[in-house]
Amino acid sequence: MSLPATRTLVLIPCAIALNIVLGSTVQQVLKLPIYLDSLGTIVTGVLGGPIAGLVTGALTDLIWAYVLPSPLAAPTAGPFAITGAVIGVLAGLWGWLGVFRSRRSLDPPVLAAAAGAALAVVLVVLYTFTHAYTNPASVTLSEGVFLVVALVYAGLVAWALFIRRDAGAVLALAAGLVTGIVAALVSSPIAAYVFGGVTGFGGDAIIAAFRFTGDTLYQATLKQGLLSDPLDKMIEFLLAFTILAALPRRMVARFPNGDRVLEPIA
Amino acid sequence: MAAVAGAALAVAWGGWVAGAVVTVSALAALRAGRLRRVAVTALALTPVVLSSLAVNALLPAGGGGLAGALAALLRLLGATLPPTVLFATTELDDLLIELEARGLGRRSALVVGSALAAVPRTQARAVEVIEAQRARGLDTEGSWRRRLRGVLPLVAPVVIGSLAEVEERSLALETRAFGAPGRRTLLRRLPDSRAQKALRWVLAGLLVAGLLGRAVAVLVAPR
Amino acid sequence: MIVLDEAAYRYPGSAVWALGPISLEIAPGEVVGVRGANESGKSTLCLVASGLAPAAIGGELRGRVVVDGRPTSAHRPHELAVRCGVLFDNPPAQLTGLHRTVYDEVAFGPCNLGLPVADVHARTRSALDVLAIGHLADRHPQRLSGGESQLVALAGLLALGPAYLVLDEPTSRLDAERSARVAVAVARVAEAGVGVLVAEHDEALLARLCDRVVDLGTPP
Repeated sequence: MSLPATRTLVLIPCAIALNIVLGSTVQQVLKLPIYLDSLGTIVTGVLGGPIAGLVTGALTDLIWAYVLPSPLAAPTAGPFAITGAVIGVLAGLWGWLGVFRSRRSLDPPVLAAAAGAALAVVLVVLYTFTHAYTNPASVTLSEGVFLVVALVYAGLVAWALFIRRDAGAVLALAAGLVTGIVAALVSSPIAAYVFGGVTGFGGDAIIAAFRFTGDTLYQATLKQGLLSDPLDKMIEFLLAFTILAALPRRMVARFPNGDRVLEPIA
Repeated sequence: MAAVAGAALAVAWGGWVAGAVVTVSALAALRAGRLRRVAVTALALTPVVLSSLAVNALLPAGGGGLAGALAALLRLLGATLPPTVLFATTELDDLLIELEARGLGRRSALVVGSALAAVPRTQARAVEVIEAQRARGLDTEGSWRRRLRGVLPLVAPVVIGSLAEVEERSLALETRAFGAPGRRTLLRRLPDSRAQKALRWVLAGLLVAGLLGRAVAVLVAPR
Repeated sequence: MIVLDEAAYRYPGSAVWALGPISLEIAPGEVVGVRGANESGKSTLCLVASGLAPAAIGGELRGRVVVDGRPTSAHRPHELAVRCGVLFDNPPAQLTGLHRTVYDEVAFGPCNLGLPVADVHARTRSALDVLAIGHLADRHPQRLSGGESQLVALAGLLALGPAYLVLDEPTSRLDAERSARVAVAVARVAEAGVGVLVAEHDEALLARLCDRVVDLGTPP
């Protein structure tokens, strides 16, 4: 890979700022439990490649925790730089694979293929969830969690296929789900070891709830992660997909991986 | 150097090492006259501290209990304070110049330096978008369904604005010869001294020894 | 001389020719204006004349664009930057945001070239003097007005010692008084022997500054 283009170098800090600003603003203004603190990372990964995504993800948390002056700073974000980096690399990978390309098509085969991919992902997810939730006392709680995630996923897929008629959105959602699971797997040990399960973000109560039913610290953080991260990432991936699809070709084409996002000229 | 060593050691060893790191950081902050600013950051951790104590006090003993919680807190503090002190006592530009003088490329310096400056700009743009969309009927008070529909109209313009800015800024940089090869001329350096150099070597040694020691202890511990 | 010979340009990923074919010449010390409706290609012309298109943004260039004998398609952006600087319409975006003083900001260009320290200082001071903004040297770049930012950005370009300047609607976001100051600065720069291409909506500005004006008309 040649030296990073100036454009990618400028993209990274703007994306870091996006992460930080969107991460707090949406949640505050719309009063919804949605944390869009990886949107910049995802967009950078897709447009600039996995390494650009990695840098964006890692630096966001580090800068947010240590460099930003209060009141903007979030000191607990620092150790999660690892998760940020992973998300960035994955986003770059998905982007390179063409997952974020808009594929508007009404052909049954295309839609069927998309539905098939979605189903495959669900099966993978099912496997992951059943292995995470081995404690019998909290099984009902864990089944509930899985059900919520699966329902939201199914709902969004259906919307993508039937209302927006864009098979690419389904792929983006599936990638988001998988990335969310990976993110949860990476961050829960961090939350457990460095923070003892208490990070000051919203999930603490849920972690505590799981621990009340007898889970160890590590199990509890993992379960909380598997609830919130896939949902979060699905939403962020879908948002990223929608925004990228709406950008003028000119803007996207100038980025190193822009051609992986654009539909070929008819 | 001190910041990295301190944070890493605190996390790896926990316990009294973390305590020592916290004390040293506090003293450094005091000497530089920045104690208040560092304390404010530490205070930001208060919600974490309180919930942690509450949760662990109420739980059955199996989860490590209060002692475990305190240990984790000490680790957290030890991991957070050294970098905070570093950035409270050093201007970012000077730090970046120093790193660049020691071999960090101009590109990395650009990325870190710009990110910090980009936050207030992006925040301002977000505020503009919020106002504009509210004028167009964006609902921030209604049912959760309506608020959910507000996500895209709020987020998309901010992202698109950032991407447009990337375009303008990268062209502006190109026309200032940013892409030129070779080392950049640096107009200033941070003052250095023999004592500081020696201290850095000592810290590096401690860091390596500390991490290795911890790794060995973990591997050798009886199961 | 900047020479465009039947030059036409297409942005990357685009099927439409955004500019041309157009032929144009800019001599040192001359101020050439460009007028035209929106989307008529004024900005594209600025990018092409300075060589940023295609050197910094890719895309396809037909015909020839030559700056002092060097074809722009054969050079990297930093090589072109020392011959032709470009000023855009959004003042804050021109400033790097990396420096605490205007002086450092203006010195950014020469520092990038790795010039000796004495050289850097000489060029920076001379750029500040030509534009008469020496009094801004210690100010923080983020705390400048729009007009002051444009002048600082201009100084940053001049510090590289280019023989030509391309200005893409430099006063569109400024009020009348600030626009006038920028116009005065541009005139001074042209007197110093720099060839200038300026794209503008403001007819008064074009009339006052330019030796001649090219009309790009309306888009097809």
